[in-house]
Amino acid sequence: MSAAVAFIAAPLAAAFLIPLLGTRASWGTRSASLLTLGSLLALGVWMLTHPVPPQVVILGGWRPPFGINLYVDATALMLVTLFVLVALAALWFQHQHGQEKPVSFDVLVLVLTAAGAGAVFTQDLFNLFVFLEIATVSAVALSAPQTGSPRGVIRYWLFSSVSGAAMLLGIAVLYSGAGTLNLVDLGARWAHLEAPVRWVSGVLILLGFLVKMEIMPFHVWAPATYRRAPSSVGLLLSGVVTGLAAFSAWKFFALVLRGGASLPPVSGVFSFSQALFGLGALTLILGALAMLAEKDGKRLLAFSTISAMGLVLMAISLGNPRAVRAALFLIFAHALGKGLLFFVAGLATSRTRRSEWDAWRGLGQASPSLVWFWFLGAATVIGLPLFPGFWGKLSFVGGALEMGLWGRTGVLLLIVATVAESVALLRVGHVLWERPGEPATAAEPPAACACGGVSYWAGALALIAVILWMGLWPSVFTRAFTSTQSAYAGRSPSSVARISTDAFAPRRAGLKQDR
Amino acid sequence: MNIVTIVAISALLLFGIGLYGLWSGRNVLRWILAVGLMETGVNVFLVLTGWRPGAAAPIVTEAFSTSGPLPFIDPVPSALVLTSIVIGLGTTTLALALAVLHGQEHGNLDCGDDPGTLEVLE
Repeated sequence: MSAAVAFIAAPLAAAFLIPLLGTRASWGTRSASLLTLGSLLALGVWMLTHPVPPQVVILGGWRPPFGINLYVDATALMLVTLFVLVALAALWFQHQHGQEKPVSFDVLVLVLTAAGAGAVFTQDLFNLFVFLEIATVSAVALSAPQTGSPRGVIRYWLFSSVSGAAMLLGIAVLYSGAGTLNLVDLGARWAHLEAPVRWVSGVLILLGFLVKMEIMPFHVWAPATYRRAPSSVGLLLSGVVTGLAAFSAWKFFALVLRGGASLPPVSGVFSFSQALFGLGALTLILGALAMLAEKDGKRLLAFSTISAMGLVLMAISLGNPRAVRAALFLIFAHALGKGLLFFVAGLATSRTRRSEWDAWRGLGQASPSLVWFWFLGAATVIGLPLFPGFWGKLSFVGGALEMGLWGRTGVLLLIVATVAESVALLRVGHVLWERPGEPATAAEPPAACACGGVSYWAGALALIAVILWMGLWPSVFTRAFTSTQSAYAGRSPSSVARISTDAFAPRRAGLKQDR
Repeated sequence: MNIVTIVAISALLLFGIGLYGLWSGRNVLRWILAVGLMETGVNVFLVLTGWRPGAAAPIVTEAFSTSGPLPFIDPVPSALVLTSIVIGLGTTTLALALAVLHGQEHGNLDCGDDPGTLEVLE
């Protein structure tokens, strides 16, 4: 059995065992949850520094396509390690700076991490649906406010439940036509299915992904949810939930829909890929413009997430190697940069008890590190040169320019959106740094700053280390993303289809598989 | 009209009634019931995908023989429905807890817009 299974099993086991230590949060429960995630982070780093060829892990002794199998390669490991890092940073932040939460908070973070790992690794469509639902239920429960109106989170529950039902209906329709749930097997049978089956299942399943990615017009739950939720939860929603939804959408798009080319054109005018591209473009530009008008810091970050996911969807729908590489880079850059931004937003909110960014004026005077962290996060998300977002956007431009008029339009929209996003984020950074004109500008006089020490900043420093690594030495990531893109497109000796099919028939020679 | 068509129409009707329930009001309890109806419709449809005329439950007995056509329904959709029911139970319970929170905060279950300025607790 591959060690990768530990990313699913260990957090789930810890989530069930930790409540036995006590239902109230204590030093013991906090240490156990941090230790679990810390161990997984160490395991992820160890596995990445001791690379093995991509492998298929067969679960329960049932060979695919009858059983569930996992596909583990460098990109999947990187993504899961990133999710663990973000979860660890969120949990650390909540323990250090947030209100005291019951032990269920730690349990839900662990369940969300396990679901994220499962969704990234699995090659079974229904299993993917289950992991996405577990992640969503955990995220909804984490977002519920301890006091105040839960209206935002009720909308989140509503949208995720309806999209989940639609996705399950799509899976049922697909299964009725194809008789399999294995993604590789589905991809092989897809072209032979009747057009209505392909259309209905394709649209319903993608709808599920789009809601979880916060793509317009299915995003309306997000701003209110982000605003009410603690910043640590905003970090998880933005860094883990949208990231795993985007990766899952790409997996379905690449393995089953084969880049959308196997679906009939919409009304004979534009293709399915172009329809998704248009939806992504709308999300990118409107999300960025909404940031300019937004007065609430957390809602502003929500719109930034929405806009970023719009760009990821555009890259996924383009489907060429550069665009896919861009999508993967952007998922990483977004999770890292947004982690820092939520870190600062959380500290500012907890000190002023207001989430309007204007109320954060002058906080950087007492704690300059807040301003530095904000600018580092903003530079990562915006894509300043030598920051992770830059490599993602550069790759996107390269991929889009290969696609003619649609692609050129996408590049133009990206430039406009980047300018709008830069103005919105740097404006908040300026306000943080600015001296307050009047002492009473904030809702309350800022509390004495308790900022200092490595343990205080540990979460942010870990994110910064990865940001600098990814920004200054992107070649490690580029190689992994290129290899994964080739594997999913079937252009590599270790392609997902090839080694999964080998797992279907185990007696073939040269098989690399793990049980 | 055969049994497959009748069950398929029933499943889609359940899904449609649920969808109408969502559009026709803003009461949280109505939304929870509507989503429950939609999920039931999907589960019925899922069971239907494994159905075969004249087939029995997929339980292997001593009388089972591999020769000839399989006398069982497809067991995979039944397993999927079990999982789906458990997920539905979890989400419904969570939604009911949120409805209780809403009732305590607003004194009713009408889920309108979120209030404007507010004090935020981390």
